[in-house]
Amino acid sequence: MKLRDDLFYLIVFGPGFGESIVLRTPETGWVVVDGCRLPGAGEGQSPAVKLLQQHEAQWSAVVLTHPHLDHASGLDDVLAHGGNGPIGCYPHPLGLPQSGNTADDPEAAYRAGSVEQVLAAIHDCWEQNPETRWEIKRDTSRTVGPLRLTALHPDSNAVRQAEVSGNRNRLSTVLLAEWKNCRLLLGADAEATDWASIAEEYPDLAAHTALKYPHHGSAGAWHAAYATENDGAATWLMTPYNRGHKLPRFEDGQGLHRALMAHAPIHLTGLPARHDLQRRTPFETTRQALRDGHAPQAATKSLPGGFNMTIKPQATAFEGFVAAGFDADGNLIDLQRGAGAVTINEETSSA
Amino acid sequence: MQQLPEAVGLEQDLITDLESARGSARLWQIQGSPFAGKSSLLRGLAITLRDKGQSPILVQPPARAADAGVMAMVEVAVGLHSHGHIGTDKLALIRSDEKSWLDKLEALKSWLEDSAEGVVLLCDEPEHWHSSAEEDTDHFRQQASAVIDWLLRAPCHRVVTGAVESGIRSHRSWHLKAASNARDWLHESSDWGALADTAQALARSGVRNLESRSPLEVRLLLALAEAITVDAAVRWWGQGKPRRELSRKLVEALQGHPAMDAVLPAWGRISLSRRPLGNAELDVLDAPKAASRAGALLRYCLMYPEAQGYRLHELLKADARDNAYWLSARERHSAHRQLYDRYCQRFEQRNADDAMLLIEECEAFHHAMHTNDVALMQRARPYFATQLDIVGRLLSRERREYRRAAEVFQRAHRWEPHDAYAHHYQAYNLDILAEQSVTVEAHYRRAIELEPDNVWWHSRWISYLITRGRAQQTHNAWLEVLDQFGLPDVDITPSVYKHLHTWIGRLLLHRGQLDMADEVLQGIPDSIIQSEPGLQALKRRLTALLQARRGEAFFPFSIAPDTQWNGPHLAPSRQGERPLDHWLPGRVDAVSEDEVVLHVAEPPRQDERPQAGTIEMATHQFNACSEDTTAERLQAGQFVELAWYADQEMPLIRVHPAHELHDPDLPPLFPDPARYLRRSGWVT
Repeated sequence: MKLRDDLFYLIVFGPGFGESIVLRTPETGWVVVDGCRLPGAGEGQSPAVKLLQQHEAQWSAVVLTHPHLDHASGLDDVLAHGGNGPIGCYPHPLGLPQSGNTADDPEAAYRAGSVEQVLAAIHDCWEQNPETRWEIKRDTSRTVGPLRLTALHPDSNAVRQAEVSGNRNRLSTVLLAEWKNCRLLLGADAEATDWASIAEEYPDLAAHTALKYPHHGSAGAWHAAYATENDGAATWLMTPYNRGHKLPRFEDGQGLHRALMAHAPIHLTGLPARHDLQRRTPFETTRQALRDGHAPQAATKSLPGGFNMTIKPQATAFEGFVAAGFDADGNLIDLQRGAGAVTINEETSSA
Repeated sequence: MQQLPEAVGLEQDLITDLESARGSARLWQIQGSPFAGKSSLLRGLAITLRDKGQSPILVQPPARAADAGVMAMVEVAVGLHSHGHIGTDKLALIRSDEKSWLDKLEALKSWLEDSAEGVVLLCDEPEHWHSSAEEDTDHFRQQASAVIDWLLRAPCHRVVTGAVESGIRSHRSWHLKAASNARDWLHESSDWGALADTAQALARSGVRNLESRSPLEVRLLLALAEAITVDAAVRWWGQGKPRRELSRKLVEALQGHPAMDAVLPAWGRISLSRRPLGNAELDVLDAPKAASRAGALLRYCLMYPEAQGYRLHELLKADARDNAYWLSARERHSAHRQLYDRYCQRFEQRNADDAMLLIEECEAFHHAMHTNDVALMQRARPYFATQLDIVGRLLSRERREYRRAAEVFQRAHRWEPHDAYAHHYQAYNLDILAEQSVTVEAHYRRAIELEPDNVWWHSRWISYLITRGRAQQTHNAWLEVLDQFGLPDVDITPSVYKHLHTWIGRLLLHRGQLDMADEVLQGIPDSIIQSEPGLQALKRRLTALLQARRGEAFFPFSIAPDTQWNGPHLAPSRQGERPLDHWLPGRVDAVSEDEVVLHVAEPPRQDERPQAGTIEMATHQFNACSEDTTAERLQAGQFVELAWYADQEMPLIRVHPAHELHDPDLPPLFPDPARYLRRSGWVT
């Protein structure tokens, strides 16, 4: 991935499961928000670390938005890679998944241990270098050169509600990253209830240069506070979630539909399934084509009984990503998309 | 008193040699089986030499005890004092809590050098002084080795039983055969007390092959004859039985024997003592009275009389240990308390210039440590930092009082600043508590500086770094330890891999640090892995976790990776007449009211990756195909198998039962890897 020296980049990795965001300022500040790992042939590498290595860079700040495996995994490698600066986290006993030591499920064991490792690394950095400690709460902020990072969420009310519901997404850190005239809104996995609360404190959420769409485009994450009244020039990026019922859903009325009604196009870092147009980047399509499964066509295998097996993508380092480079006035100057990325519009197909 | 036929000649031989070797310090060695009577010979020799005006010093510290080295030093000091070679003022140095054990050893060396003429050191089985090879006994073993090395090279005459290290050459060596004049001996009424009639009956019974057996075996067979009748014992004995079987049979006979029911617990209580016991001490320990048959069995068959009382053979102590002393923990604590009180009483009655009080005070200290009475433990006065190390170990291991243990270790290394063991275990106990991380790190590092070739010091330090989440520092420390031990090395003792790779690999796997776990496990020679089920379990876990990291977890841990594709594991190979056509393993990705999503894989072709995908099916379809459960009861994360049979459209779905992993070979995780997070309230 080649980055222009004069631009402020928002690079979102989302290979299918998990997301990792890298912000790079022209002053060579590198901020990593969350971690993920590359599945299959990617051999579990952290794409953020690959990027830092490629640019012989170290991080200037690291943030764990919430301790779910799809946001935490690989952040341990980022922390180990080396850097110096604030490390943001909202530590809470809800954070750690139940120990996988006694489970017969390798994925549960891996998940629990990986998150524990990331939390341990942050805990240790905070203890060893107290100046790195950024215990994230609403309205706390840190600066990295001219870049200012402000936490918009969680507030104490959301924490109380998370404790009652057990929903860790309620603890998600929503960040506003401001560099010169650029305002990047990084939505983590915050849900609609949280956005309502955030909007009360920060009424100008819609005025952003770019948005990392919250919670993989789920219907429950949509909120008018960030989605409406933007000027249409913003760049929206979204990451998929290829587990369970998969996100985003392409059907009418679901999350992607609602998002596209507010803003188009949306750059999705990858699809939950391997598809026939994989590697034909930049690939643009419509939600309807995705919904109907014809552009692209997911790679499937027919099984007896009328069952279909949808083949999963085999991401390598830089397939599932979108990188957007902005100038000081917030104009999108450079847009790079990985081989698995898809740009989605509503209604008209350009495929 | 029984005289061993071999021992009589040997002792005479030795005395002659000793007398002719005046002026040049020599070493004589007596070898033989563990119950040939070597120790008895040595004790007899001590009496003879004393009678001849020499200064024999019998060095017989508690066997396999962590404090054996320092106790041997105390015995030498006591011996020198009792023969008038040193004054009472010198004993004060041994008792000083300001001098290190090395200072004391140096003082002893110089005292012995000054009085070498006439002193004969009688060292009983020094190879057994070492504490057993447990995880943290190197420290004690090294200390004992230093003392043994000094004793065996001392500038005076020395007689040693058992093996000596290869660098030390003896002037002359004997092999003592295990033999007894069993029949004559059994007729000696004075040797058997109330059992004299049984002994004579056994002698007359025609029991076979007893003459070539050791005195211990003769005693045990007599005890058995007393417990089950002479005839039954002789029948069972046949042509002869090994010593262990004899012990086992005796224990079996004593259990539930109406007249002998007090023997086993008394045997257990006596085993807790490290020194010979007089009748007064036996009474304190509720041993049956000497006049009773049970009391005689205890005194004349299980124990043997010597000048200072009765002594229980070390092998019989081991039998008691194997049977948990036939005592509850509370009864054990109580017996230690009784022994503590008794030793206190004894040393308090002695004059300050009576050197025996040194030994008795040390024994009082030892028993105090095992009373489970912390106040008593804190009151007891040690002579050596080693004793504090032992207390710390006991507090940590048995009582799990880690904070108190750390305090004791701190006291130990303040006394002995070079005590790597104390530094390490102060750190380790605080680390278990997840407290004072700065102190933890300082003392872990100090122990490594002091003793860089102790594999445990490195293993725990690296485990600490992993626990703290310091991946880069962990890796650097790992590379350092590989250099330190020259690893991998197929010729190095396998315990290095067990103590280092196993623990570190286990923790790395737990933390999902799979690349480094792979590096650690790759560094173990195959020959070691083949012989270590724990390491094999780690390898299996690594493979499964790597699959999970790639998003390819299709099998539970309980299916070993090398057999995963030899399935199906739940579905049968035929369903009625229909052979299996096709199968897919998988994991439940999500379940809702309407739909089940399965993460499945196609069995791979050779050297290829399995092709992963998802199958979405309506809950009614799942329910129609599933043999084990319904979609309503299904949970995400459960493992499944889909199997298609010839001429059948719909698959059979089998669900692995959701159970907890039980892999007995998997090494444990200790201490809790999340302890620092837990302490900070980051996890519950």
